[in-house]
Amino acid sequence: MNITLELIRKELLQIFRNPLIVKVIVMAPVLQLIVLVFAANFEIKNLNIGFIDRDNTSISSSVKNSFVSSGYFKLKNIKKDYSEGLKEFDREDVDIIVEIPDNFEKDFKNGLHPNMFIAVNAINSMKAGVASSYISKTMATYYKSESFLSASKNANLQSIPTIDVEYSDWYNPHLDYKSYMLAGVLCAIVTIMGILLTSLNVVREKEIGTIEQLNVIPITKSQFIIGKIVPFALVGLAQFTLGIIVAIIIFNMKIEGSIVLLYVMLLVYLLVVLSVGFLISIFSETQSQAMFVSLFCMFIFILMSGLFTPVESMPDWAQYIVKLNPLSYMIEAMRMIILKGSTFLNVIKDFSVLIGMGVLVNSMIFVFYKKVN
Amino acid sequence: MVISNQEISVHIKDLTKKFGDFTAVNKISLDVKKGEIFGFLGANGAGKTTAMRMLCGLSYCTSGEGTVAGFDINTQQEEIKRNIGYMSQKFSLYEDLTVFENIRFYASVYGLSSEKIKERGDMLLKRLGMSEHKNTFVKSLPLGWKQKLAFSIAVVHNPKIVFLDEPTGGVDPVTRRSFWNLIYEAAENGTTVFVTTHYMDEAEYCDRISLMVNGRIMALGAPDDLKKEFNVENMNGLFYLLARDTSTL
Repeated sequence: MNITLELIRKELLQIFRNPLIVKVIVMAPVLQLIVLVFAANFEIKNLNIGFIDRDNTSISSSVKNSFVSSGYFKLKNIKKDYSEGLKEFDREDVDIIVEIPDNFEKDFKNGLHPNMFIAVNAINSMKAGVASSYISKTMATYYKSESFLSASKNANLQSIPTIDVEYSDWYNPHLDYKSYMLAGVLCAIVTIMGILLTSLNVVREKEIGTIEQLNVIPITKSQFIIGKIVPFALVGLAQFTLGIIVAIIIFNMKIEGSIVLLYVMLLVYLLVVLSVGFLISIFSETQSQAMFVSLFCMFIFILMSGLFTPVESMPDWAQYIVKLNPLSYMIEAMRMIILKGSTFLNVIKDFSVLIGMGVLVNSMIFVFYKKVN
Repeated sequence: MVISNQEISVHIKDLTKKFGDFTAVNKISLDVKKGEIFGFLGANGAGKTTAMRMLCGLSYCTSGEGTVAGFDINTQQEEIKRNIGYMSQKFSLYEDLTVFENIRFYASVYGLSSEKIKERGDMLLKRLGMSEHKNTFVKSLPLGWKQKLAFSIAVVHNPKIVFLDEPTGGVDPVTRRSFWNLIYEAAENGTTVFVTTHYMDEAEYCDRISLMVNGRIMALGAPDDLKKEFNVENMNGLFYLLARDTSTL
């Protein structure tokens, strides 16, 4: 036990002796939270609409107005025809083209169901999806508007039965993506620092040669592993706490669930990521090797976690990879606890999977870390 | 001469280490008595470090047997580690820790209490003339000081045997001389010293030496006896005579 404590003390001394590391530990959560949460914005505003109005009647301009008043779009009038609009597409000046054909109002009043034409630039498919849903939302609002109702009253239309769908957003009523992102970005920060610091640690002792000395002192494998993981778990806890404080002060984040549960999940998660970093360190001979492997793991962990893109919209095979990703369980649990106030029973699946992964990775360390070779 | 078991610190018989087809250490046998300063000589790549690592419990032997401090090198590595000190060829102190933090770390892993650590640490620093450098970072010490400090730390827990792998590489003659005074002191206190070196003048300081060529021990005995046996003037002559084969590689 004493040996483990000495090793922990030595590691902490070395961590805090390095002024760069200390700065990174403090600045990373603060800066990344502030920058990433604002920048990783899921809302799409200011979609540029190229509006081709060939009808120029009261109906066509009321359609136009409904787009403008929705707040999502920026209108750009296109004088000529669709081919002119396509050129605007090419120049990336507009994202959407809406074309109202000739005789739109006339056909409408005669009950002919005239079509309007909408084209969406789908190079950024996510943006295009969001744009389409905004358009349908806008049109749905328009169908209920005064100008449409009064126009259709005059028209020879048989009333079309419509089903109104009412939405209510639970747990995040203001659809505030910030509270949703905060939880995820916090987990990502802890992941990055955790994997990097541990993966560079043992390999550094290999490079400077002190690993020989550590292998020749009477220390058991478990004492060694605990002594090498606990210091970085403390760093992770400190970073996470700092991040939570920043989130509360700057973003007014509310934690609906239990803070104790939050930290329990964090500890279990740290066990997994720090062990992954340790494992990388065992297999690497130089710090640059360890760095490359860590970067690879971090990319997979973060991109396949549901942090930026919803897991449900990934193809099946990708969803299987997500199931192997500890970060996805951590982010899921964090969002549930912070946004929904979930209890331990709600996150027990994430908890058990993370515990299982921690046991697995630690057994691998036990097998592959050789004091005698 | 029959030596009783209590007096033997290191005993190896037919110790062999193979890496694939290459035989790094080829059936070496030797005994080292308690309190002896044993010089383990050989050219670069002769297999000295490989053999020493097997004795320290850092590497498994391919075949052969041996005991260190009475413990089997094949099965009791952890017991061996509790009874030896080791100073590797690569530098073994933490440069970003102070002199005293290094002493405290290595002393405490051998179970010394904090009072003991303070007491022995102060004594050690006084002997090295480094008392005022207690809180200096190791990285700012000159190489000779670092080596002497590393040795003192390797014996801070009074081990039964200390293994030194080229402890004086790159050190000036005056510092080497004072380094050897530390080795004599340790031997007088009953610690067996097992040391590899390339300096033939240092070989003369040893009670007995062995000379390894291509993984085999070609000579074993007290320096004066070996000089008579091989009819050479000094240890340099012996080294040239026996190690000539490898140096032409």
